[in-house]
Amino acid sequence: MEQFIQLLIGGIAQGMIYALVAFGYNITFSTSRSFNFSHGNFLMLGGVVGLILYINNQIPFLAMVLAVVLVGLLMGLILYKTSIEPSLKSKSNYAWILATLAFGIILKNMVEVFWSTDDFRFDSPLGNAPIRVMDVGVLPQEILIIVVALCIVVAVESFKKYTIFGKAIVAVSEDKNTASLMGINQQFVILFSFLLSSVIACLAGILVAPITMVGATMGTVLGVKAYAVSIIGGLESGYGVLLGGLIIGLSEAFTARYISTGYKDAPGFLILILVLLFLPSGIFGKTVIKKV
Amino acid sequence: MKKNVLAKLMGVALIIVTVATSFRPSAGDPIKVGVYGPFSGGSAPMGLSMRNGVRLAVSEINAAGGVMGRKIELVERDDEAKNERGGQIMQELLFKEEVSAILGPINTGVADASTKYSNEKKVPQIINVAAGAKVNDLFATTPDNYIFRIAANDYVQSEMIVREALQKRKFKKPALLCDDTNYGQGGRAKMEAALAKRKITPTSVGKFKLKDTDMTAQLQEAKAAGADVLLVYGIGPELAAIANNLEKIGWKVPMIGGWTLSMSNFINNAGKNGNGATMPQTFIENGVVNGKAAKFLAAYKATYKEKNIPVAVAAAQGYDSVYLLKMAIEQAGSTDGPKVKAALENFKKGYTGVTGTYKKPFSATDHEAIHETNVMMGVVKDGIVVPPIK
Amino acid sequence: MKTKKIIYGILLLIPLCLPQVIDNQYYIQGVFCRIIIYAMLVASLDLIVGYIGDVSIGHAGFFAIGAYTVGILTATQDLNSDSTMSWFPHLSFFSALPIGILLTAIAGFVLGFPALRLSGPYLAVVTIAYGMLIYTFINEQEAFTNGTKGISLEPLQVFGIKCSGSNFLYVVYPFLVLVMFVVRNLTKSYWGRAFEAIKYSEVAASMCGISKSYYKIWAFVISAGIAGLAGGFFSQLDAYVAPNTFSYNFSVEFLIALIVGGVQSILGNILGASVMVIFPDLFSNFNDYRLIIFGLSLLMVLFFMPKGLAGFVNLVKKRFATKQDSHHAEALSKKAAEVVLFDYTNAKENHTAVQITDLTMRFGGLVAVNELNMSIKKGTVHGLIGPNGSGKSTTVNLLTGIYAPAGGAVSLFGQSIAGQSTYKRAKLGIARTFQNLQLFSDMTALQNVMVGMHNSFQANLAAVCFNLPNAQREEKRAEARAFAWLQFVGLQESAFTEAKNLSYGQARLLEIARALASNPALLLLDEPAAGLTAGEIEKINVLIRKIKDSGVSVLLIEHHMDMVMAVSDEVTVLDFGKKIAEGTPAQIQNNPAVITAYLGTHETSFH
Repeated sequence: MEQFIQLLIGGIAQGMIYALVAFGYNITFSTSRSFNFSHGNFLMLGGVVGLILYINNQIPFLAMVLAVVLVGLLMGLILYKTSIEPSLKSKSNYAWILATLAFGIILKNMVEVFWSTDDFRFDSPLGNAPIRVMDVGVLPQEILIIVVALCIVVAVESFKKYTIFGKAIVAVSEDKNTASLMGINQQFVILFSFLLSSVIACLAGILVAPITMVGATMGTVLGVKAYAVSIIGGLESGYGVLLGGLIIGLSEAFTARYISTGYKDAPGFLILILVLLFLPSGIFGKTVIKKV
Repeated sequence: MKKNVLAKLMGVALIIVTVATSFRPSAGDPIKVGVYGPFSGGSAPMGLSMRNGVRLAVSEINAAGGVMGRKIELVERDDEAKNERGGQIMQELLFKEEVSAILGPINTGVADASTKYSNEKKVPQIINVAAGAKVNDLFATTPDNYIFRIAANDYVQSEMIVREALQKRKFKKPALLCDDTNYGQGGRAKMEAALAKRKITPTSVGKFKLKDTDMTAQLQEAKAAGADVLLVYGIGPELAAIANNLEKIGWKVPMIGGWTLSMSNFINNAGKNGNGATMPQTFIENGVVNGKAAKFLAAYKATYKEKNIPVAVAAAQGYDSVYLLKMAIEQAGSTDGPKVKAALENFKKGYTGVTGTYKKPFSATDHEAIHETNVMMGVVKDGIVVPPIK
Repeated sequence: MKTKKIIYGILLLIPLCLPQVIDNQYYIQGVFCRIIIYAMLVASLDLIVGYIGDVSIGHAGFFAIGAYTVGILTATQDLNSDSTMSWFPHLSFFSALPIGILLTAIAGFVLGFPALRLSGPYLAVVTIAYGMLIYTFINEQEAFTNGTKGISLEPLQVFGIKCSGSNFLYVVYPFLVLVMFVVRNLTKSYWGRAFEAIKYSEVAASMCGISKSYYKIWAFVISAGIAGLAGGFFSQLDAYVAPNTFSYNFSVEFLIALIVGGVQSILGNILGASVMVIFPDLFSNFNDYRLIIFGLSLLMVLFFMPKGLAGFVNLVKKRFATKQDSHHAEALSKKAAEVVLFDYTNAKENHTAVQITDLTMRFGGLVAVNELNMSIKKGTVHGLIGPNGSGKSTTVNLLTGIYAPAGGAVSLFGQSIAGQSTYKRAKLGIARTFQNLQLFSDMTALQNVMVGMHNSFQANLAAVCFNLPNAQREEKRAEARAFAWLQFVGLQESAFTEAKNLSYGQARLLEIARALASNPALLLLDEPAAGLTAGEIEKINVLIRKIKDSGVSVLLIEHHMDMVMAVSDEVTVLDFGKKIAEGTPAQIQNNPAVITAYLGTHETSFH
């Protein structure tokens, strides 16, 4: 029983890590039908900046968080100006994929060259000692990750539902042309979504760092898994991301324990394919009937 | 329409011809030596430490007048730990750069995809990190074998790990936990064989992937099977995740594993959870007594301004591989492949390096410089690797 | 033309002489052969990404199946003495290769199914999952694959001749030529047009008689087969295969190569593959900064050549193409003069064209069409009018099988078409235009019409792939006929203009031409005059009369009452999904129910 609960908690924590990253895909896809294929590398940058400031230079935690938010905003802006805006202007369907991939390659290589290729420890401000209840150990950081993931999703979903600007985002996601006729500045909404997505990625970087360690490659696998997570739940649903995270996180933990550690990833991907076969827009996705 | 395609194809062919002809290799004075390994990506710490060791040795040799009056010129290539890049790079080094010898690589798969080119071109290659790559195994199909190694190979490592666990420390129920790379799975197979020799089957065999951070399931499996020792084979970051997860699930069990347990990214990331991890070492930074090794360490730290060498073993082996090559070329009196190979197989002088003293490192049937006698067990203690307490 | 062909044939042979000119294994095998193999894989990816329009990030998986099948089937025990493999069939390379292609094609077939329901990022993630599953399978099935440690292979020998090193070129180059030949023929044929039509508008494609399932699955099968072929050769390149080559990153690299090279172009495929192989070596002097430079150059390509390297080349070439086009048009118009446009094989004997009985359609609680009864007489123009939301377009969608009705029956020339899918109805003789235009935007006007003629093509896949004489003849005939249709609607001047560059009025005419090209017995015109000027509407009127005179039955949905009244033989009026009146134009104009319905909601005047 302890084993089961231990696995459950590990799976949930891992799932929420995926969800945190997945959320970034979700936001920009809603507004621009595109997302940052190098999202994982943005997460990595947040982690690296956090490590340099907080661990290596000992600046206060909150000041570090603020700095990471600023880095996120800056990177979001650069990404938007150098990659997203030109790609959306050019009528090619694939430009944004290439642009964001290229951006990620540059980012990762720069971190490797100017900082380090190694992986580093990031001590959680909450301490590294697990909290132990009945033989089940939980890291304080894992609890924090779960709480933050829930908060971000609820915050962004309510933002979309209850604020004018949030409604504008939804409007753009549903019908670009009508939205712009109604006076919504589409470009700005898209820019805003990329800024938000990139800030969340960078924050996720410091949040997951104590679990994953910090290094130039910390975001690569996370980025791909999170992509799967965002799709299972439905790209346009915040709550879907949480569910998708749980599905992948738990399936990995339980497969590794009870089936085979080698096939750990397989059931998650099988579930993904099956879900999409029956629900082509993900679990919470809206299937739109195209009018002809 | 058809002609467009044809014209296009032709254009490409022409471009390739012009590009190709403009890169004719030039015969120069320096001795060209190729070095390849992962200098970017997840395995980069090993590659970069190895390259630093190699660079250090080369700059020393060149400062002292070179080899037979000729300077060594390194041709460095990043294989990104990708097998297919390894093959392409080796062809570039051998056929375009026309190097006289090759050092590297780090990853077992990259080595297995590319060593055949050295044999084809009859250019000696000294593998200085990849523990799982085929070296002596190649004799069966390639009697004229140009591949040498100065690194504790998987046979040596597995034997020592198993002996440490079963004979020295009297554990009865080992569980294996290896990553799913070529290196990890090679180690797993050889550890299983070493255990089988002692009529023991592991209580469980687990696997993990690079960048995995949650090892709960694998550890629970081992624990449920009643293991009393963990034999691990992987690289630093994931091994650290194992150590940290052990702490999380509250299981105190000793870890014994490959030399990678000495990588700084294991030691730093595992912190106090890494204490007691035991591994075979050809070089222990903090156990240096030997004059040559001390000199190496001082020079390394002065040159690269690193507090601790990220992967000291790789740096030391990289450094020694250059000196072995230099001595072989001097003994052969030529950079001609077969002659250098013959010299490597029949060392006259003997060499005292950072990783030990080699009277006759290689022979015509054994291309492994490192045997169990050159290897000692190291233990992680409070952030450093120390020699075992006698 | 003949001499040109010979010249190009000779030019194609030149790469085979390269080993004589450059006696260097690195350039020949390490670089050139690698480019050849990668170019095949990029071309296979292009079929999916460029033509079908789906993003695949799983082609490394197909590549792996090809490489591993050949690897396993040709491996020897000697070289894999310490492996976990127990099965060594010792096949020769050329007997293993077809098996590899077959297995990969089957894998492609399996992936085709999710591709039918999914698109965009949803399908992309499925391809990732698919690639990962293949990777995991290879990694774990150690008894077959030796797991992560990989398989070492003997140097390639063909009929006892050593084909490793530079000689490898002689084996692999002919296959590149073959693959490119097949891909070119396929994509320039009605198959390729069907692929593209599906990409731009699935509905319009199916109205042209194209079965989305059939063509999409075939595209995946062919693409996978080519990837398997490339994979088979890849196993011989370093004579070593190991699973970690075929990772997610490998798929991504190929996607990058395709986009950088430029989609829908053989030149682009080759250029993209070359970039992938040559750049890392070219940039190795930048040492550790190499990948930064690589990333920056990718962004540069994107800024300055948004359509890839090949797109840039084409742009330059296009400046010289106008003259060619006018020559082509001249030749076509000569041939078009002999074409008989309306043939009456489709004109069924004395039946009512369409009989609609109790047709009902609901969207949730809304009854969009309510027990509609209506018939369209053969060879007449039947107007269907009604205020916005009265169910006109829904009726058209029900007739064409885009929606499945909640109840009722539809028969075409006395034959029930209930349950038939859209593309089958198109084959039975229904064609339509769309209220919001559904043209295949990047294809020329002529090509759009040729998609409409999809059902008239007979050549089978093999004939198309190898461009056999019957396929060539058919294509030429179709081109002339399509040109004649453009002449019929008055668009011959714009034959080589891309649909997206046509004016609104021209686009509406092109939709009619495309619909007519399928040789329909019943033509559904869904607001053909929407947004047109009075002069343009008059042209459409003339056109409709001409169509009617040729024996085609027409259902006309329109808001322009003058137009409906002028050309219709009979008119049906809908309101809230119910039929409120039916009769000749004169009867309808005086029907009080119609007037009330319209005056309440609509301001169109009747006179």
